[in-house]
Amino acid sequence: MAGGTRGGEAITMVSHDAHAHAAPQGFIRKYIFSLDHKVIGIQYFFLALVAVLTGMFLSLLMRIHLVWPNAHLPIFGDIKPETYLSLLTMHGTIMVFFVLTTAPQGGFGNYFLPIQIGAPDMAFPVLNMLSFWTTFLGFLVLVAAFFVTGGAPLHGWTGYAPLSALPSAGPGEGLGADLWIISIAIFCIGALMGALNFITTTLDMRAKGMTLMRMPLTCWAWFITAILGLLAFGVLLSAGILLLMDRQLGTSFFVPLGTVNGVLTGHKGGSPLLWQHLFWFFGHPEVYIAILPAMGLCSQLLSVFSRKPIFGYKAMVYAIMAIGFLGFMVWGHHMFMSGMSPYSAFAFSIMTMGIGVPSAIKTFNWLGTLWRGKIRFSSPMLFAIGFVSLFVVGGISGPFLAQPVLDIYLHETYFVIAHFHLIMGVASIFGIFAATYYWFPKMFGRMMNETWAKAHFWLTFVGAYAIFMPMHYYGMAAGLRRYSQGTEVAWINALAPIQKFISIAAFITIASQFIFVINLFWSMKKGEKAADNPWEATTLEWITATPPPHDNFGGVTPVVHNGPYEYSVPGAPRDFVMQTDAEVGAKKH
Amino acid sequence: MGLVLLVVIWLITLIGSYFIIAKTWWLPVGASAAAAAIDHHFTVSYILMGSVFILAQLALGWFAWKYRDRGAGSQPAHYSHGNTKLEVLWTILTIILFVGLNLASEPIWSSERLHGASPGAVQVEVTAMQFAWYFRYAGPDGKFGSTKPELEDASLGGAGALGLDSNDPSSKDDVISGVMVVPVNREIEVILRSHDVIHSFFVPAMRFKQDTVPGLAIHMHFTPIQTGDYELACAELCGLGHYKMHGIVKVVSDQEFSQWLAAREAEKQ
Amino acid sequence: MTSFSTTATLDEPAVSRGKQGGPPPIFGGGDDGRSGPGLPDYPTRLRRARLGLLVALTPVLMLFVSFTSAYVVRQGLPTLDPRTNQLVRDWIPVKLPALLLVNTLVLLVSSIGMELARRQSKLAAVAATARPAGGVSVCAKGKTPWLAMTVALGL
Repeated sequence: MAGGTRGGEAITMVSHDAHAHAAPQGFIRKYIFSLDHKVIGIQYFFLALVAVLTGMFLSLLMRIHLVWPNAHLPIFGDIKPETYLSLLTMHGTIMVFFVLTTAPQGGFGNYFLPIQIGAPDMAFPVLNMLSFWTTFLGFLVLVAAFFVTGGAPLHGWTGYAPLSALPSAGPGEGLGADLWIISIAIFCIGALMGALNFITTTLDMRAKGMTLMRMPLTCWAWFITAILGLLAFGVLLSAGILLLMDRQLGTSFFVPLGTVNGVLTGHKGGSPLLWQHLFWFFGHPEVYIAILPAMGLCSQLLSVFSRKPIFGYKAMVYAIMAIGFLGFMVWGHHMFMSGMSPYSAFAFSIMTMGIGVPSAIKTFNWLGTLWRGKIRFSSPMLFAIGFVSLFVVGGISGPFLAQPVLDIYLHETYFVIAHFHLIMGVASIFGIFAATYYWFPKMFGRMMNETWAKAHFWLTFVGAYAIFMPMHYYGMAAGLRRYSQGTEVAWINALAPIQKFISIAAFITIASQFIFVINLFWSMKKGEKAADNPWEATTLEWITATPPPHDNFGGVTPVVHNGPYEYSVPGAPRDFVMQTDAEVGAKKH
Repeated sequence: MGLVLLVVIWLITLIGSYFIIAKTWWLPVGASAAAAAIDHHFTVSYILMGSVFILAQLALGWFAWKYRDRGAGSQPAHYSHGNTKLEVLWTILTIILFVGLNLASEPIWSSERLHGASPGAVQVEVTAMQFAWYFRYAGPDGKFGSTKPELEDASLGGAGALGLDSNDPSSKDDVISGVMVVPVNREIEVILRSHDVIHSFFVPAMRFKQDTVPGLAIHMHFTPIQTGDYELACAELCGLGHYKMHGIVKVVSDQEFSQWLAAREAEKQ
Repeated sequence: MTSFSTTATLDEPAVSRGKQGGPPPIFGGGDDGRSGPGLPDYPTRLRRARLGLLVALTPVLMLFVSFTSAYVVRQGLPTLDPRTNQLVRDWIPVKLPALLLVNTLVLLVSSIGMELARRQSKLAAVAATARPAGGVSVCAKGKTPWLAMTVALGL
């Protein structure tokens, strides 16, 4: 592959001498409390790595318990039903907040948003640093819930009141649940600071010529994700505060008159549905917060590695916006069976089917990008193609769950688990993997080992299908989620072979993730030295040095002349035209 | 690499679809009046969504192989920024497919949820608590006696667990059971309540599910059309015993139902 | 945090207000949290801080919208009284002490006072530079001691 393009014939630069940064001195300023968005991005990335390994380990324990409920594990001993519920609560919370929200947005967004728009840093570096350390604190508080009396909470990541509001409702609902709420509140504050930074940076710090419609789709995705976060996390924060008030101050927002084990709870008049409304008003946009960056990134990769402009750039941008907008109007589809008015259920269902449309447009455009391309199967591309495949399978189960009539049967079964794990979990994780393989050379100056990367892809891709495809069948046969063992209910017990198959597939897939972890650390030290533009891509991060200097472009500011996806332009000297190259006179978009 | 992708994606798609088409693991036989319509809508959705799924996956695998990089001298990629006509066409088709599918299910939803139970329906009050189900019948007077949270004691079982107020005259003839016995071919109106946290009343064979929410008495209805024993289970996370919170719906003939109710009535005297 | 510091040094040139929608800035220039040649110029920083503040107001708004809606919904919501099987509204209105009203008033007045004091001092600064040039009295009023009042209320 051709090397760097810096100093190439047509790159225009504007002198930027008066605004050069002095690189920070000293270990702590440089690596711990750094203000550099690149260091903060890497910090977020490693926080997410620790979190994902923790979450994965919890799922391993859960998978063991589901198949061998009476197994006695070394060190951990027995997994009791309540332990299982704690595991699933913590698995969900860690994965949703500290992996799927943290890695694509906080990690890669932080590192590459400023570079891709030609800015030397985020708008508010101090705020950026604070947002990382707040998130980190949130993670510590959450993990602490494992070690307090009663253990971690068992109310699931959705924390439905009154189960989450009453300490007497079960083990783990005491101090553990308090820590869970506090952790989420802290996370919200960190996420809000991050979102504020992303929006201001995108609006105010684009390089000359980087119009909004010349931004890479990754930047669009991060930008819209930040807006979603800005609107959603405030609501979750307030819901968390109200829940904490119910628990500690004797208010009754979410708890009606009732008893637990024949003992009056001391609350009256609250509404459990109020919590669900507030939670899902946040919760549904959160799904898009997790998936949008992956969608943006995979759009980018499909274009880069097909050597072809993205199919329908504008449609992609509008689709991202439509998803963001509609994402706030569909929260009720989580509540069809909750006792909400059946009329509003139907309205929510129509809106939900509507949100499928922009997602379908994106899928169509991804296929259109591959069509008549010249595909290079590097590891980032494999993960991007894997993402499309998983996005389709995860998306196609959406219209089943979005119809209240079918949701009567499917609600709270493994069909739901399969749906959201594929689309929000695995597809997003594939986006994160693709991002890691794609940007690792830029971040650490070395290539990752391609052979191991491909091995990792095949095992993970087939493994993900082997785990989650059978969950659809399990759900179709009414296998219920959040059951620590299926032995009690006859029809669920009959499905035990599926669970066993899933568990074995999960063990293999989990084991194969260590290929990735080892490759990651090995390549940091021993990987082949990377050129400045190893993938021959066009966006701004590839015009600068590897790794980028402290102010990203070494004292100059790029001037942008082209859209982000000018590949195989007829008449151009190479099959890619950098964004900073002289303007492509050819076709308009 | 393109060929491997094609083979793997196609294989996964075909194997995955096989188990759906073969119905290896499927819904239990429907035993309620609504089941046929719901199952039909499942089939329609599977045919439509399944076709989209299979086509998209096959195309993905096909493109990956067909448009692979064939080396330095080969044809360059086609330079195009998309096709607005195709996009508009695709968007409209998707809207018609998704919204149309949803509208087609409206009559079922309407009869299940928008309309209340008919006046002659058999009323059964379902009470959920950690981790048991209780079913209460109003008795000859047709009135449920009042209950008091202060009197609730799960360890007593039956009337004690529900906190039934024995001073209320209309509670005298209430029948409380741990098994839900209902007559076949009669509409059943369930009144769903919960003492502590949210539970969910799920009978797969009846295609019926509804959360029981503390602080609410939710009225719903279904009509069993086949006699037999059907298992019900809790479908909302309610605590450590969630996995064993299940029970039986016993659908019997109208006559057997009256006899059973009378026998329970007699037991109380 | 320096990026939010609004302690306007008055010898800086006037802010390019209303210049939104113009071409994107040639250079961004991150505020590195320390002074020195690395800082972008003052108008850039001020515009950025203003934009940031505007964006920051959104989650604050969302927070209060959800608090208020939760409060209102909870207030109007009937729940089932298991004793009587009736839907009841059991909202217990909180008796707000009169002091709260006084506090709110003080806060409101002092924030208005602060804004007026800010305008006054800005006007004075403009007048100070304008007087030698024009000779016209720019600042006729503005003798009200807003700043002093705000400080007093702050206590």
